[in-house]
Amino acid sequence: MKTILFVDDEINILKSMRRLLSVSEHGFSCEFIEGGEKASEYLNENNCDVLISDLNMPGVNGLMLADKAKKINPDIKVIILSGDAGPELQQNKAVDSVMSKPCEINLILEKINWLLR
Amino acid sequence: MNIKDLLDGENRTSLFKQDCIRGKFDISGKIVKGSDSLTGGKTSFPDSLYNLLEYDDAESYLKKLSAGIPEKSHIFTLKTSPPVKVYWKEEKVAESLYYNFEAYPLDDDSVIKTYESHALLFGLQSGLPDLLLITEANGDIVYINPAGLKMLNIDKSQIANNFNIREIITNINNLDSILSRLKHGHVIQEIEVNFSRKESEDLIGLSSIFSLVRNETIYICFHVVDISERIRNFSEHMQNSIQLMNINEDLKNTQSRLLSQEKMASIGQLSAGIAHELNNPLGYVFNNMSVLFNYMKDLNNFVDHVRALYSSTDCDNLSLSNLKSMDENLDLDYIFGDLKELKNETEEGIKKIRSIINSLKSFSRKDSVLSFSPSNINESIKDTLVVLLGEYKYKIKVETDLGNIPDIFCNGLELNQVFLNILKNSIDAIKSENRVDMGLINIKTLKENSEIHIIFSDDGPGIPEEIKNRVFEPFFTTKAVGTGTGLGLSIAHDIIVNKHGGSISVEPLEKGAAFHIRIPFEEELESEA
Repeated sequence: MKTILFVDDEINILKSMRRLLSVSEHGFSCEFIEGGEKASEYLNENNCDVLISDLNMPGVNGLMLADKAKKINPDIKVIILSGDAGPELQQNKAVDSVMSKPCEINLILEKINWLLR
Repeated sequence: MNIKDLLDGENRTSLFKQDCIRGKFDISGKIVKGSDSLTGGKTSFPDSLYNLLEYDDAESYLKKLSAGIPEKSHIFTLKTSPPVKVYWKEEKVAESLYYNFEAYPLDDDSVIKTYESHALLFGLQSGLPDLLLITEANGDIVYINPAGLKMLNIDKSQIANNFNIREIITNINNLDSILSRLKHGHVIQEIEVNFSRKESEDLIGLSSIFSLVRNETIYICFHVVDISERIRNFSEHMQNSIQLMNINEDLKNTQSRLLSQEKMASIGQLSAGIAHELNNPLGYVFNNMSVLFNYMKDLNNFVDHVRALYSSTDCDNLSLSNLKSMDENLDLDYIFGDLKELKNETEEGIKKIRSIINSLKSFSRKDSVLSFSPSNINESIKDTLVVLLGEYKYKIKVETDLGNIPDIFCNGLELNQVFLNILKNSIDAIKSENRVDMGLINIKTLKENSEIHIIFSDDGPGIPEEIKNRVFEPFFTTKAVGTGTGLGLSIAHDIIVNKHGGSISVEPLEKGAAFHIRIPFEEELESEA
């Protein structure tokens, strides 16, 4: 089973995401972590296939986390969720896809499936 | 003696000689010398002031003289037959008890009543820089003053030969009716009268015209101020002032455009952060709503089954156990448990959205643009921080130490703008350092006597001493071209100093800068509040 790591500094977003995924049909094992620093620690010890992260976070932000994830596992797919997705984000090599926030869960799941095809 | 002779001045001396009495008296009133042209020497001159003047007049006059009370002139009535009213002047003979005196009869019918007014008038008409022109009732010119002759380029000799004013006035057709009106005592003021003149453009004159009566002869007097130059310059001036008005209008437009540009710039810069702050709670409220519908679907499904069961006749154990397994499959316990959390989190999100919108509203209340009302500066600061949250929250820690301060009479909307401009500057300054650690901004409010003291300190790059005094100047900016209007702090200065009578200054810190704002307030409001 493929694992997906969701990272956001807003706990309520993670909770709503978890709730949403628990009532949706997908075939993924989902992990939810609050903030970039904790996520960075998690990536040191755990393998995952997809990282979905918020961009703006205090301390370790989405891009720093993406860089780190790619270093540990070059095959990991990174999706950045952001309210303001500029071109410099789209061109970033560590980022596979940028999605605007808030985003419907179906679109996120479609994107994950497409990246993992 | 007609007015022409009088004004020409040649006969002035003889006039006075002819019409006056003079003499010398001592302080007791005894006249020691006297000549009388009025009586033609037919009678002997009185030997005492008491015989020349009314007794009371003489008495009080001598008293005043001996008391040394100076008076420029007197009007007395001589005890002649008939009595003659005179204008009386004396002059003390140096180092003696004697006074020389002169007395001139006052002629009520005369335009020119006294020696002094004769002298004044003579000085006036010869020294007057304007044109003074006197005609007879038919318009024949009898006199033009020296300045007037020059202005009109006329030789004095011309006046003698029935020279009528109609020959030189160029712009008045109804002169006759004007002259006849004047005969009846009218005065015409500020009428434009133009005069032709040799070898030169017309004289454009602003005139007052009035009549004089001397010895039952009517004279018309024109007093004319030369406004030719003024009129000629007028159109030029008009054009200049229209140009100035346009420039002024342009400046005003530019100013208001710059002010709204400054506002637009901050709205534009802030909107991304505010949108982000709204998006987060909106995101999870939205997600939760999707889940809520999902839960509702399950609950509906279950309720439908329950209803089907109690409306059917064969409510047996099998149906009940079906229902139980359905309950378990749908995990209704979990749903009910999660619904509570879902409700709380959603509520939290909606409250957050509401608070952001309320804070934004305090920046855009149209009705309070010009109004002062009691409001609390701490609330203004809190609102400003909510609006700015998206700008700083990942880079800067903001500490607040908001003291117990009274509501003060102020323009809250404008103060919000002040706080926004100062905080935005601090945030931009800290961000410009591209540092790894979090920046720090501290906001402190306190009441000092009858002032609210607000201190914004940051640990940014600080403000160099050499530009410290310039930061409040309009258009002074250290930001890159296109990123700031350079008006933020000058607007803050205007609002605090000019509109609230307070002060604003910036002080360097070991690391960073501190802005101090002091706003005075009336103590009464505090006790009411």
